[in-house]
Amino acid sequence: MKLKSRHTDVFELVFGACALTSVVVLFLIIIFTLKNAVPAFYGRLLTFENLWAAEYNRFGLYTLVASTAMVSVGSLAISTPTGVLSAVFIAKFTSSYLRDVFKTVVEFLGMIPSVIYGFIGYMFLAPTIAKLFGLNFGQNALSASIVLAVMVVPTIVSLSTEVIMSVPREYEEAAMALGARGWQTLLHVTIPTAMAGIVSSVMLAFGRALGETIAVLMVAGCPTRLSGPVWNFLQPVYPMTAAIAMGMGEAEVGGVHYHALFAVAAILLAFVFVVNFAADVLRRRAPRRIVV
Amino acid sequence: MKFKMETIDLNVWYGRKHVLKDVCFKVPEKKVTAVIGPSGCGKSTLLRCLNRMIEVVNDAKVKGKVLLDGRNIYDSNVDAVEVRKKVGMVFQKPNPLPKSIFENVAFGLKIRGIRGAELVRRVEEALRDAGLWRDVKDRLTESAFKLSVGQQQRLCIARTIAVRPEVILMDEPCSALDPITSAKIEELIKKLSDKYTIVVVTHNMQQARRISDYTAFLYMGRLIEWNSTEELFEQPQKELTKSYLKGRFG
Amino acid sequence: MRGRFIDRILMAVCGLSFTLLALALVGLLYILSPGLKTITPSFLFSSIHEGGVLEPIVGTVYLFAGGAAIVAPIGTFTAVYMVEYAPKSLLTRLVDKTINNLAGVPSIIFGLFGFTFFCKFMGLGVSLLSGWLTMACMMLPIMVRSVEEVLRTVPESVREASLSLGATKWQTVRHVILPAVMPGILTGIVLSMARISGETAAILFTACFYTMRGLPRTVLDPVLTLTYYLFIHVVAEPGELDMPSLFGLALTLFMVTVTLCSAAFALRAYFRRRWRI
Repeated sequence: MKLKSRHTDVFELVFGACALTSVVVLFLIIIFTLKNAVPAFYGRLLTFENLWAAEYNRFGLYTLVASTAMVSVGSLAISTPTGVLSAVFIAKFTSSYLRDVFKTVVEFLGMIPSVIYGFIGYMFLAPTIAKLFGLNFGQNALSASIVLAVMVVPTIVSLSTEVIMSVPREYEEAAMALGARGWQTLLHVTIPTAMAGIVSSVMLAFGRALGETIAVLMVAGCPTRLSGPVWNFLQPVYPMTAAIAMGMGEAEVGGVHYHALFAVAAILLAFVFVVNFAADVLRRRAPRRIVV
Repeated sequence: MKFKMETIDLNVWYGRKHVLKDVCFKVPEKKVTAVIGPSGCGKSTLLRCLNRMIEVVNDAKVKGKVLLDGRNIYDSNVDAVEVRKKVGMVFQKPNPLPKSIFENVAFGLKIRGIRGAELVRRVEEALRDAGLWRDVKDRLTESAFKLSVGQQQRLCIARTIAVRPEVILMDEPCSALDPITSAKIEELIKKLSDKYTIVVVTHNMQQARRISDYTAFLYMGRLIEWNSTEELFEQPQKELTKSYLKGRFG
Repeated sequence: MRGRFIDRILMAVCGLSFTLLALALVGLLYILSPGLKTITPSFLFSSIHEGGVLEPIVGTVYLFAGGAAIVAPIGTFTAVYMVEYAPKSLLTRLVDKTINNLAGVPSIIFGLFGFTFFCKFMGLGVSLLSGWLTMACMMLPIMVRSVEEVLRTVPESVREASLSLGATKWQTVRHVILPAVMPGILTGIVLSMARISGETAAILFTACFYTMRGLPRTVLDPVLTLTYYLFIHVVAEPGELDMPSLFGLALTLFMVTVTLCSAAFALRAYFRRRWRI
């Protein structure tokens, strides 16, 4: 006889129903996004051309997806080394009191509203970049990458710090007892052990970069097509999220543009789920403390 | 002799590990029964079966009967919560609730619907019986965590007796305490046996001898011998018991 | 020796990286600082028609207060279910994965969902109420994880103590566990509010309307928030605010978020210290 407490709790049902709410919400999000996207997929509205112009019913995914890729990769290129090295700094080179201070500083950076980042990017970064490179406007992939990098770096720093601090002391002590220097222990023992967690944090940051809307909208430029090749970061770009936000302001509900936007949203959602899934898988293989 | 509680062919598994094997344990009414044996022999498990706290443990499986006043507490129409209202427990490590001293003792009474002047009276009575009243009467609203370990254990005993259970189970109640405090708790146990049926698990043979009327010896999940304390210690029947009493194994 | 030199270089490089971050924060503050001159009580309390920011502030408060009111009980009860009632059940594992996924959903998609589900399908239109419901969906993961975290700090011995006295699971939760973790729950609420107060994309077409310039009179009216107000001024330039006021607006929003965050962090630190008994 397997044992279970016999006392039937009506509260268990109530709480279980609350728990079910989140599942229902996610389910509804997926269903409703797909429901409105399906007409676009069936009607072959989306193409792979380099032109996204709703008024001409041209919905070329290349512009949007390439822009998103450029900006996300660009932001990771900046934020990953900065973030990981900062995490190493906080985890290894600071006293425990200062560590709490620095971690809070980084957390603050992560809570700043995206519209403020966009505002600052628009007011200062873009003009600066324009002046630096002799352009007319500073809204381009470079500005967007920089702004995004600052926005996602807290994710990398806080998670990587946790992971690095969770590497068992015994491993490091073993290396040191064998005569390894600080940097050797770090490079050959600590970082490899923490690697799964660090990569996971980078993937989470990638997910966040993919999904950021407001800040990129204000500094990316939003042209109808990409004028140059993908490695030219000084051209204005039009990431998927910006296209959706801009488009929803104008699209007629139930119209062609409307469905196209939902189609883009569905694709974005798929990307984000895949990235987060990968991050999750990696995180399980990382050393962990109780508090995330 | 009347048995307040009895186990009949009690078997317990933790996952695949067979922890208690065909145990037929008897608990005489209004007496102190000690359960002794080497560590890992299943003493705590047996205790937890008596108030259905075994159900809180993951992966635990129970077969057999446990009778309280002749009724099987594992019957499908018996509520575990009701069982625990009659069979209280004091744990090895004092575990006061994160509340004030007063609230700790009052909690059990409040969930039984006792309020007001009656509540205050019963709390005081319980604290007096546990020998804690003088120490805490001026600081009832302070956090229970401010008490010393010995006082916390008394507090746990106070909250258990406040609700006037029929049986009190004690799982090595003195193992976290120093010898002087232990002695005081032992005194308390002897005093309580006038009113309550008590079962004490202990790894300390001398303690068992001092405080109990009956003793059961458990070894590797089996009940090897059960007798009045005097007889078990003076004239043990089984070889295993003899060896254990002589200190041949811990 | 070469080894020690490399050690030093490493520390310098890491320190430099961190300094870059700190500089970014300082730079941010520096850029926003011109707004300090504009932030006077009259700026904060006068209507936007007089160049102030009263309606956006009030609108922001309406939004996060309502969202918090909806999500606090649902999030708390979800966490209670997961930790206290059914830690091993299928539903709990499903909810755990769901919460992780929900946390990663981009805010624009919440916006689209809010629009098509709450505004259109449920017929609530672009309104404060739609905003509340959309925000509640966004806040759910933060709330659940915060409460989950504090529930897990409660040692098993406390639950055993309560159960052994004959309390039911509900009595244990209501009278022992929840009171003990209340500061933690509060932290979760304030943290979610901080997150929401900075949100723009999700309310862009669920709660805000370009021509809306005032306080919502009912919950079915659209609302004006600090974030939206700043956004349209940069993107569309409706021309109601001059440059100094714009900075004042940005700084106000920044301060609202910082205040809420500080409150949340302070609560969290207090709570963590309390349980180190």
